[in-house]
Amino acid sequence: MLTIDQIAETTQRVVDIMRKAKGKGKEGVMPDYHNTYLHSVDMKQAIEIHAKPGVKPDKLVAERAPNQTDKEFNYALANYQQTTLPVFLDNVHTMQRAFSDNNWSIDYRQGDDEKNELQQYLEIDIASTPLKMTFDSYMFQFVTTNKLIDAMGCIAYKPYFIPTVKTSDGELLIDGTEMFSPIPHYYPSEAVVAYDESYFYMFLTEEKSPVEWGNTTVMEGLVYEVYDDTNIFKVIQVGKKNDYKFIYELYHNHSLGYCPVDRLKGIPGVLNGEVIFQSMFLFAVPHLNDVVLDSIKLRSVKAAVVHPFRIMSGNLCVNTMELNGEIKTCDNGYFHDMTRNITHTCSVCKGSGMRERMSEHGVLLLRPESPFKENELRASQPALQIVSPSVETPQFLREEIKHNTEMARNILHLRTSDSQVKGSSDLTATGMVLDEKALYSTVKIFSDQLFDMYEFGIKTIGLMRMGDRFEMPVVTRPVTFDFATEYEYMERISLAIKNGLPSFVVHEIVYRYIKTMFYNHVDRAKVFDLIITTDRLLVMPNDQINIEAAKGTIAGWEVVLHDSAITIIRQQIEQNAGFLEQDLAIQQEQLRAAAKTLADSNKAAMPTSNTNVVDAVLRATEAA
Amino acid sequence: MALEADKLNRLQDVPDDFLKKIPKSQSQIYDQVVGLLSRLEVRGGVYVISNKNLQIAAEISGLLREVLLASDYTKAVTEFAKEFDQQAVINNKLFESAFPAFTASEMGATIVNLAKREAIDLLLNRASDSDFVAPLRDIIEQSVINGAGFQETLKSIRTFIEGNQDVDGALLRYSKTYAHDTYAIADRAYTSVVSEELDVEWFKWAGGVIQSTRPFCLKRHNKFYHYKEIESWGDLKWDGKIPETNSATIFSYAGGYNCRHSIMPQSVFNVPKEDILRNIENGNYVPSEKELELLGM
Repeated sequence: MLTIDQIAETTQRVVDIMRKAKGKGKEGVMPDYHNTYLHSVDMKQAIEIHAKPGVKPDKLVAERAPNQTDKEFNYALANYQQTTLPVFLDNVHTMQRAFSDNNWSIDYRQGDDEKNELQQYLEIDIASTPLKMTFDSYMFQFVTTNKLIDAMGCIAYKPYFIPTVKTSDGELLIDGTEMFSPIPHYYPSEAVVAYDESYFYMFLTEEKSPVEWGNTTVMEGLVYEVYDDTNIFKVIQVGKKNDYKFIYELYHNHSLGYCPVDRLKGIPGVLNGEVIFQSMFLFAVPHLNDVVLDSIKLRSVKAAVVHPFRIMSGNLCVNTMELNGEIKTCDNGYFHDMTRNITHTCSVCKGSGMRERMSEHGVLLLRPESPFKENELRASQPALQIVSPSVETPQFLREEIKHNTEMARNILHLRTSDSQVKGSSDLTATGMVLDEKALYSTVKIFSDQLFDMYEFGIKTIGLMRMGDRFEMPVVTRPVTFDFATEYEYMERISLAIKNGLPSFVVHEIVYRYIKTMFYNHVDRAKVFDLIITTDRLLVMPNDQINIEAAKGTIAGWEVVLHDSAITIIRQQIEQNAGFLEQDLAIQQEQLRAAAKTLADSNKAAMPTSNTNVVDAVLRATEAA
Repeated sequence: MALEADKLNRLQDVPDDFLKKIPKSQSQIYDQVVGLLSRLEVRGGVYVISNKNLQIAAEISGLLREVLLASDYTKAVTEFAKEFDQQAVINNKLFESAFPAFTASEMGATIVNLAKREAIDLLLNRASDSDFVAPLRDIIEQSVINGAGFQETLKSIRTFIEGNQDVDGALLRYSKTYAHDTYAIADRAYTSVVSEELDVEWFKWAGGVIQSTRPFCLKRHNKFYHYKEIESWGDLKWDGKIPETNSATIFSYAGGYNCRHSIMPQSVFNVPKEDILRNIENGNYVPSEKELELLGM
């Protein structure tokens, strides 16, 4: 637990750093609050260009390219479009697949008819707070996205207001009858001004306090929050703005025994002796930066290509101007005032010394032939030419952009269903498997960290709100991280069958394919789970089935099950609405029994193998 | 006599009863096949020549055997097979009446089972595959390959399966070929085995005469012979002789294809004297003193 003195000392140090940085240079520099501050902020801002709509790549384009004019640069920047946003979006969606509804679960351990108190708060009541969404939505949408942008950002938990009650003496006390409503709050890296990891954190909030500025009061005072293992303090600037004096208010005595702040985290590293987290997306940023720069260049080059130059014969400019009482004619675009030694640029030809010969209607007027002047049509050079730069340059830039985008996606192991874009277009089958395993590993780390945060949040909110009555729910984390596209699975299934792999191997691939297809359709996933685990003929080609049936190694009901599984399951559901909620073993048993009944009644069990046919008829004659 | 008449009549009647049930099965099968053919794409009244149609045709071909086996034809074959056992029962009664030493033969029962199995296999498997399923498959697949007319194909298939006033349906046609023979051969095989066990020497070439009775059988119809005489015919040649006929198998194959005769074992006391004398003279039969006395010779 920090003492007020310790908080004051930290505040002073932070403010000193801030003031020192402000004083440097015309616009100031970024304050270096702690060992990892500048790097954390740099990482975040580097990613934001590609992740947040509306962010311009100012730092990236601070230096102009050689041969690029100011006009070209400003044009490109003004028309800059964030073409790399889709890569980030794909990365987010890929991570979010791990949290699909049927890939994890939470058990609040409530009774059948009642909603658990904590569940009620996290799933319903919390959406009425300034959080404006359920806790699950916050974690799996908001935090997932920001975890990829700002690995060193923090999520702090505090009651969003402290319920108070006024006593008869006018004293303000905490209202012990009302439960606290703790909510998570995100502090970006820029706001983390001091910390001792897991012990305490100090954040610069967006709140402002009233301070004196000249003769007026302005809402420009700094407000910090300090979290430690026992308390949450507000550090509020008061008095004159430039005096930087602060008061220290206890906002909430949480007494959790641990600091209610969690880092967004990412890939861990060490910087200046401190642990630093880096977003996985950061590793794709260099390639995406190249994409941005090339896109900017492409924009300026395109403008030149689609707006060609006209080159044509002109006439000498004969504009006149009065200078010192004398009428002067344009001299190669200028008027020279010898008296005052001043040169004026001709207002008509703008210094070129030539005039256009286009008529009002855009027609180039040519001189008629005369004995003294050759007809311009017969001149070796055409009177008018349209010139534009070659398209090779824009084509080259496009290829570079495509290459770098592909490299970035490769680094992030992003896949699409388009067979042309599978990370790397020349990836071999082995490469694809290794790539998928790398993605699996990446997503697993991400998922594990996110669920650590999820459980931390539930525990912190639960303890802050319910105290001793809090009971931690059981969270079952995702275990499947299957990311091949449907196309890739079909390729694998086809290869496995073609190469004569054992049925169980093909079966396993089909199983994962169907899981991928229906991962977010709970009921359909259950139906296909049932079929996959019951139909042993699932991946057998029809010819093989016929042969095996003829040999008698496949029973008739198995063929019926194979051909009519979905119909039989639908019938079972019609008879029993809770069919799919039963234990899988019971579902399988009922499915087999139904297939056998159907086979018997439809004579579908009629053996087709020669030996079986004869035996069956012989048995029938003996039974009589 | 009544038993003998029953046995002989059954050689005709049982297969005939089986064959009468077949037309109904043929109609049933035709309906099923038409149902399967409705999956094929037709455009402008002809089958579309396409990979999809060829695939469907192949699938239909694969199902034809199942259609056959699922029809009432299988039931008819089962009923027919049961009659083999009944025929053996009648034979046993005949043996009992003629030969006091007779007891039910295990070997005979095995022979009946084998014969039943053979008949079932022939009618439901081998013949059905080669004479019914394979030709039907060809009709269907060739129709698709050549883009034949839809109506024309149905007509061909109907004629093939159900027949018309000029020709029997395929099932009936090949069943006719095999039904009488399998039944008669089974009956004769059983009789032969039991006769051997009883050391029977005398037989009657018994049976009914039908329009297609061949001269070989006509000459021997209802006449009595020693077994050595019958054995000696194994090497003769005649029209309708089953190629595998020899001195041993003649007791099963008798006059050959479609022969309805039964080579019935006889007690020597039922054999006419001229037939006995003939075989004494040619050395086939050497009666004992007792037999000579009992025969009054």
